[in-house]
Amino acid sequence: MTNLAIGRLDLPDEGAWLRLSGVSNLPGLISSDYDFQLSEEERTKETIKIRLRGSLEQLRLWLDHLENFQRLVPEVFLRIWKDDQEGYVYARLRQLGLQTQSGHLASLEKGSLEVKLNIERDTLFFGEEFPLPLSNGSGSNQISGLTLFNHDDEGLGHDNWFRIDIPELALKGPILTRFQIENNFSGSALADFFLGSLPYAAGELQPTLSFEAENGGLGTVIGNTSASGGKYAQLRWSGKDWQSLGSWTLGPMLVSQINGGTVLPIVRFFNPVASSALQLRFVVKQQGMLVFEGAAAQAGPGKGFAVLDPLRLPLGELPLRNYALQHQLLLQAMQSDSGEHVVEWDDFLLLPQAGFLGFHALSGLTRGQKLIVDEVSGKSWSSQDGLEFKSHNQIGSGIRLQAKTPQIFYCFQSDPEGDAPIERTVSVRAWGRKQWRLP
Amino acid sequence: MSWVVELLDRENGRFLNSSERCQPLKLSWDDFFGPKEALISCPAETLSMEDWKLRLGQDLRVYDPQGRLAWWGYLEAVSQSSGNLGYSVDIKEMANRVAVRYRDSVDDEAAEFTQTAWFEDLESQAIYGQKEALFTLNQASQNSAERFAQMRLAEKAFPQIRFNEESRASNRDGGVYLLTCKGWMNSLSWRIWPGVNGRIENTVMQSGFQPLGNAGNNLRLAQSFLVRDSLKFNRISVRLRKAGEPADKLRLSIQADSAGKPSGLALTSVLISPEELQSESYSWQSLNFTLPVELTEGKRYWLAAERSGALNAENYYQLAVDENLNFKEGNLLLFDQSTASWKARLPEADLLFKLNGVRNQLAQMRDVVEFGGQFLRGIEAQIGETLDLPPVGEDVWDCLRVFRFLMNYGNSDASPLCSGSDPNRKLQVWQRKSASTAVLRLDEQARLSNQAGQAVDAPWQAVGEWLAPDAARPLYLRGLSLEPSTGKIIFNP
Repeated sequence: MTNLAIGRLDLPDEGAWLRLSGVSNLPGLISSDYDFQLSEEERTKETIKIRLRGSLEQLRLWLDHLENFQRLVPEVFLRIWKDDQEGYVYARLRQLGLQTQSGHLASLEKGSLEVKLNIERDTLFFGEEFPLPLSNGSGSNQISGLTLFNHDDEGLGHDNWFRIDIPELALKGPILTRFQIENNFSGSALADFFLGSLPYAAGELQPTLSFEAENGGLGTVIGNTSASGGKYAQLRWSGKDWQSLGSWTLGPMLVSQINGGTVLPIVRFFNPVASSALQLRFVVKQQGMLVFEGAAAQAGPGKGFAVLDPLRLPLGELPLRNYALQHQLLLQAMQSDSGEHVVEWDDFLLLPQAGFLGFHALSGLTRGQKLIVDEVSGKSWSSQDGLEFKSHNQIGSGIRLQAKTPQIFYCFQSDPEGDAPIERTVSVRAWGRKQWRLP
Repeated sequence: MSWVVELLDRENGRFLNSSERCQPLKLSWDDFFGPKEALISCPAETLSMEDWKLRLGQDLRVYDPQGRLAWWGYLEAVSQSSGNLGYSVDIKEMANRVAVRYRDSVDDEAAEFTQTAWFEDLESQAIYGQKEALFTLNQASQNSAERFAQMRLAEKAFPQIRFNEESRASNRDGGVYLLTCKGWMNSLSWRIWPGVNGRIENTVMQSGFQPLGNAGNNLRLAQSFLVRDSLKFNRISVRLRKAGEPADKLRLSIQADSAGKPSGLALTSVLISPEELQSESYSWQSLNFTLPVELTEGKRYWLAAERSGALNAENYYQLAVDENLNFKEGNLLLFDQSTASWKARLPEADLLFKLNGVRNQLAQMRDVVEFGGQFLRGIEAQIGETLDLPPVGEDVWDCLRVFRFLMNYGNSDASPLCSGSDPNRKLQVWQRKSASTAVLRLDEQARLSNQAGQAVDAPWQAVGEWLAPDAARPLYLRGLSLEPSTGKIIFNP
């Protein structure tokens, strides 16, 4: 194993690394032994012995560097050159302990030193970044940016999703990702938005998780070019009981593809609801029988969309040796104030949550600004002209690409006024890093 | 990235702290507060204790890994331990509107408490909202009570950063800020309920009496009074006796005022039978009106009395009066048959009487939320029929205590009530579900599952529900606390 180093991944130049084998960038390195361990655990403990000889100043410099890295853990990585990859692989250090031999001080004065680094690192090494090709109705295998609309209908390129065809990439292990979302919409800034992913079996139909109000079979359907699918539904009712706004059938394949995971329902109104007393929920029927009532969610007055309580599908823990039975999904509303209630709504998205990130706007993202979500650093930030800033607060469990299966990503965008116009767009790019247990 | 904590400006929703590294340590909910308490850990990054001080009372929200808003409320206290020193700052002890109740030491006969005016710090109120404190002094003069109030205001108008001598940081906690948060319902405790007097009364010692219906100059009697709070009056008491054996009854009625006299039209009435009365001595007689009457705040009304039968010089009624005129908010008139007019009694007097008012329970809840819910956005109730109750008039109860007191009555079906603040900060009140609605299952490992057998991802949504344990009768889940990092749940803590 050659070219062993520890250092910072977030700094651009080689000066951020301290080479622990071969020709080091600090004088005095005689040799080193890396006691590589193979582990099934999430983290692995190992040792690296380094032997140094030189002037007191040279040895002092080594110790200072090592102590400095010790303070910077876990922002410090172990780096190894891989000839077969023609590149470096990295593992994050979680702990770095320094241990010296007995007689350390006397030895130091004589210009000789042996230091043992006790490290705990992430078991998986990851490689250099490579672009991930993205596909939807706007293009296939795009690596320079793919446009996503804020709805999904028959219009050309009107897709609020993109797909990464992992099987075509012949990736075998899990992949670390970095996503870049650029607001390329010329109107208002990008405020709150959500990104969710769902892996599905290669060869199966791509899951469709956007549903139109006009297909729910209830209310008055009204044509309007500002609505997804060119139509929206208007429901009028009185009283304080739950009122169904529509019903949709989730087919056996779709229900099975969700595979016991959750989806986050996001309902888009055509006209924002004025009342603060509107609540929404989904209920599920099977074979005509009500089998599940979701928790009620409050619709914020004046907002153009409502985020409902996540739904776990299919209902019950099924072995899924066969497809699950279709589920009938009913969207229901209840308004407790008096008089006639009116809801004019456009569509809903069942945002998959196999991987899930939500972003609550601090300042929002204006046209041309980019938001970056990096799995390696565990951070998200925004950039404009190369300068970093924080535009959004991140929520959610995170997104991780799964090996071997294609994966679909859905996105929902809103603006600072709390509306979610269907014509909003973002441009998405993604990069991946392969991971290995054995580098 | 898993659970996320956001601190927002409670007025406009702007972010006040964007640290994604704050983590909830413990969250709790119950069926009175909704979100009740939260303990949050935040790394010591860029905010100082002074910065946190300005964030007290602001909107704090906790999201679960699925993006669900799980807990919401306000920041009440912040503490930090570093080495042997601990610091803390909280809004609990703060008071920017202060008054003192006192017994006047100058006035030897003063049995009742008097209250000073409220002393206010408007700058503090602009930052934190109104937070009141009412102190009680058993003996004080007006000057000394006011001085006391001013001193307490100066001391408490702003949150103070304090040393916590007892706090010793472990290595793990060193430098970390611990945030203590309360659900929005708790902000009702910031204001003292001014009280509504449910009684209009003149119950001083009797000094004199007024015959009624034994001569033409006392055919009728009427006592005026002023209504301080709009209430539904349902009960009346007068002090009287009978003279001889009247065969008719005494009618008491409430009438509107018409140019300083009773209108002649009864808004409601009640009859007193002579059998109920003694002839030797005066006694208080209390009766319910046939129909309670809604009287309006600030208006003058009359309590009128007359016989149901004809004048009788031998058998009639005598009502107790106060000729010392202690009652300042009305006067007594007599109707003279000969001139067909109302005249003042000579000597002047006031009737001894009591009128008891009630107010609908839900209306009282609305009053309390309207008065004390400076951060709340009203109340919405689905509780069926509610009760008419005497208004809560206790002098030193805060609005939270009054609200809980009203909730504790249940509704008119004797069903317990539940409440909580929703994410829009509106108070929701509803009737507790019945045990027959239990759909959530609790297994032997204390895991909650829904009707489809799936583990409940958001256990706090089960608060206020009935749980069906294996082989046991349903249990009501009154409250729950959760440690997000470990998933440890305590039911009905």
